[in-house]
Amino acid sequence: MSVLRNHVVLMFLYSVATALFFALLWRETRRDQIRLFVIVFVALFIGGVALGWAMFPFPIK
Amino acid sequence: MNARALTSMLLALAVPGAGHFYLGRRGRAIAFFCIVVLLFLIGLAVDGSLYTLAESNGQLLKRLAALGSMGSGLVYVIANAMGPHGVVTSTTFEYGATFMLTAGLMNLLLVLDCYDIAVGRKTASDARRSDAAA
Repeated sequence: MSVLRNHVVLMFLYSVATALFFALLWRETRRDQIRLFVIVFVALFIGGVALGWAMFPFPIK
Repeated sequence: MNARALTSMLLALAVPGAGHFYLGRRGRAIAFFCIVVLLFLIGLAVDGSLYTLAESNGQLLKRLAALGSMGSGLVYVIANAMGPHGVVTSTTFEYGATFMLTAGLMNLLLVLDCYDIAVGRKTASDARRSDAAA
């Protein structure tokens, strides 16, 4: 279970599950589902990593 | 509200995906069950805290979090019956709480989706297409 202590792994799992959930809930055709999945996944996972890097120059004092 | 809508919503509230299964969207129902239950179990496994109304101490945000988590239905009831959860000192404590809260909120969305399907806001042709896709 040590892999589940890794923040990036947890972030990845959360992003995949959320993207899959909303793709299945909100879209009807396979093509639309894949499209929404990619958008939500990128927004959550890649966006989260990007936001983390963007905050790097502004440490908490 | 018709009996079909009410039944599907109650089933969905009790067991994630059960409402969709009842409404004939079986492929999607299995997928929803796996997603919601898996999120909840990961939350428990990484020492997340299970929000309860009893422990909210009258705080609005904790109360809302408890209501959201309770959306998981029987999964929440079983986990709650198994005793207190959460290790505050764990590095993944916040992650776990978020996973379980998200699982509950997802299931509440599924309940609303069941209503939409049951009253005909989502057509049968949509259902067939989506099941084929799922």
